[in-house]
Amino acid sequence: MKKIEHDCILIKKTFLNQDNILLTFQSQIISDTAQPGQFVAIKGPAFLRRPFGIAQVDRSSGTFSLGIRKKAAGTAAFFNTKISDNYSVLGPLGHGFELDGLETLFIIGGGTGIYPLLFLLETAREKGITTYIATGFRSSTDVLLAEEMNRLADGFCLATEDGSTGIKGFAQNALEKLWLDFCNNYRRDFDNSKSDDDKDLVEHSFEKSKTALFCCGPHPMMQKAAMWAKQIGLQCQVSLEERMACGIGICRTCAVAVKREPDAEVIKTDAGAIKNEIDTVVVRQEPEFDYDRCCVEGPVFPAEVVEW
Amino acid sequence: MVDLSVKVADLTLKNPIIAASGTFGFGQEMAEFFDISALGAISTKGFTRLPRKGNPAPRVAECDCGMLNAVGLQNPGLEVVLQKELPFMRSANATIIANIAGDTAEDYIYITERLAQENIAAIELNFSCPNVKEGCITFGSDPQIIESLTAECVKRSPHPIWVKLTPNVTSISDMAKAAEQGGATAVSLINTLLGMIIDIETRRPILHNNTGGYSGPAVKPVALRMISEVYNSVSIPIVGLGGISSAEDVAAFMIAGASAIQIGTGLLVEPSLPWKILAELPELCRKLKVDRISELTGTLELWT
Ligand SMILES: Cc1cc2nc3c(=O)[nH]c(=O)nc-3n(C[C@H](O)[C@H](O)[C@H](O)COP(=O)(O)OP(=O)(O)OC[C@H]3O[C@@H](n4cnc5c(N)ncnc54)[C@H](O)[C@@H]3O)c2cc1C
Ligand SMILES: Cc1cc2nc3c(=O)[nH]c(=O)nc-3n(C[C@H](O)[C@H](O)[C@H](O)COP(=O)(O)O)c2cc1C
Ligand code: FES
Repeated sequence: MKKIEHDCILIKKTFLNQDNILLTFQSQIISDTAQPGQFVAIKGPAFLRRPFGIAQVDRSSGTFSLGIRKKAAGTAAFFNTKISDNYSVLGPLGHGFELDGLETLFIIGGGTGIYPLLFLLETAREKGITTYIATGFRSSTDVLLAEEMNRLADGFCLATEDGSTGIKGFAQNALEKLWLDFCNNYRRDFDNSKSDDDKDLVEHSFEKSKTALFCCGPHPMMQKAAMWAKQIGLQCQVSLEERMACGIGICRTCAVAVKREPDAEVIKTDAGAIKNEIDTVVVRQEPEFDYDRCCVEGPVFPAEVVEW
Repeated sequence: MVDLSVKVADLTLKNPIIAASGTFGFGQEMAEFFDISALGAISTKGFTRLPRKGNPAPRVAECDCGMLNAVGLQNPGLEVVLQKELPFMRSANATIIANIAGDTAEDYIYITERLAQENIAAIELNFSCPNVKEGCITFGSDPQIIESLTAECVKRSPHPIWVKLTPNVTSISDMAKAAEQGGATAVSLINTLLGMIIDIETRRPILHNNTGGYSGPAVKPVALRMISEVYNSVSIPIVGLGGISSAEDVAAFMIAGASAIQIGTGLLVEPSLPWKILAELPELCRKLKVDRISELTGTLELWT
């Protein structure tokens, strides 16, 4: 039987700024088994556990780190933690990013979504996947982890809304810039002599099946990025957040609306069982989509199944 | 050796700890991490005749010492339960309590009939889910419906019928009496208390369903009071629940009148809780000077 509940000692605490902190915990099992995009649920003083994406793992020292932004009392409590305090942690939980078969990865991150991207970048690097990452912040004073992103990614573009650092605009603008540069470079490398339209050329030559966009951040940012990916024909995975109670799939509170082909087998058996009694069955109005569990089927979903 | 076995009417359970409905799924997820056969029993997620998709998110809102939920009975429906979920639970040697719900009296009767041949320990009629619009709670607050619908199900079932009661009524004793009149084998109480949490900035309830069911340690005093009251009003056994999170809580619920207990929200926060409590019960029984845990049931001495 697998172990799900771990007692983890806090071994390091790094303030990134007043409202953002990186906590490092000891747990060989979690660091050994975690995949990028997975999360843990940690018990603080609040009644329910709090879910956080796994931001870093160090398998040699058996540690993992969480990046936490202060939102309200539950997250604020983690800022007053003491080194060598013991925490009950469930994890690693959920279904992370699917990297198999990919050679080139575009990544967009914002808000607390940037933390798990560290782990993603490190894993992609180990697997020899080329990475381009775009992040967006309000202003230069809000910028987090820029050095780390720059170091870990093959291409990095930072945007601030006020233009105080990086390009002026949103993460989406940074993403589109990375893409354009990529396409231009690609064209140059591919064939200098050809002068066809960029888009056309790229569209027809490089292998889109080995390229993807991964998104982790605020809902509107991911929705926009996913639509953009669809337009240019890139596969896309998004990491969603939903309020959770258990984190392990047993309560069904963390519902994410997903498009789904009707499950043919189930419907057939239902029809068989009720065919003689159809008159007594009250047929309820049910939504056309299904609800998956953010904590089990997610938090990372293929963008095309998400009912935005 | 302390004897942890208990009886709920004729049904013997190896210990008084039952996983509550809606907080254990159909056991599959938990079986990856824990020995689910070690529990006294498992009450399944409430299931309906046809699959239900449930409510839009958010479905959970944290509050003081507990939470509100508005899952809205999301479940795969009777057929999938019969073909997949119950066989899995049996293969894991779990003792099964089938928690069932419906929109209409016919739904309850139909499911009860379809469960007749199944190898289960009991049926728990959920007359008390506060998060769906039809059925359930409207049945659970009308003693006449409780009595007649319980009687219909009892008539058609070889299995013990437990009636799960909602606390959202003026007199829970009247509801328990109605279940007893209808021939129920036992009553289980309490389900969740209807509540609301408000986000003052958006001026909206947190839950998309607006209201939800309050559970967790905060509701424990309400549950204990109701169990004590019901114990003095009916002679059928009581399965007690509502906020249990320690071995001491188990003892208090049994002293108040419960023959067995269920753990819900407590295990959502700490999945190992039922097994942890199970391991602590023998020591607690020794401390309370009972050889058999069942001796605790109904030993409460009210002040006069
Ligand atoms: C899979 C997943 C990964 C996450 N990763 C990170 C991360 O790496 N870093 C980080 O800082 N934050 C992350 N979050 C968000 C983080 O869980 C919330 O900010 C936190 O729960 C807020 O708690 P609070 O007590 O401060 O806020 P409150 O608003 O007081 O919390 C009240 C309740 O709502 C829940 N809640 C509030 N906001 C969210 C939210 N955005 N998502 C889910 N539940 C919420 C809380 O868990 C709690 O149950 C993640 C959320 C999920 C679901
Ligand atoms: C997420 C959730 C889902 C629930 N679903 C059901 C259900 O399907 N059927 C039912 O009879 N009770 C359901 N309940 C109620 C519990 O079984 C229990 O009666 C209640 O939560 C009080 O106990 P607790 O405080 O130990 O959780 C649910 C409770 C929660 C928290
Ligand atoms: S949080 Fe309980 S099922 Fe996802």
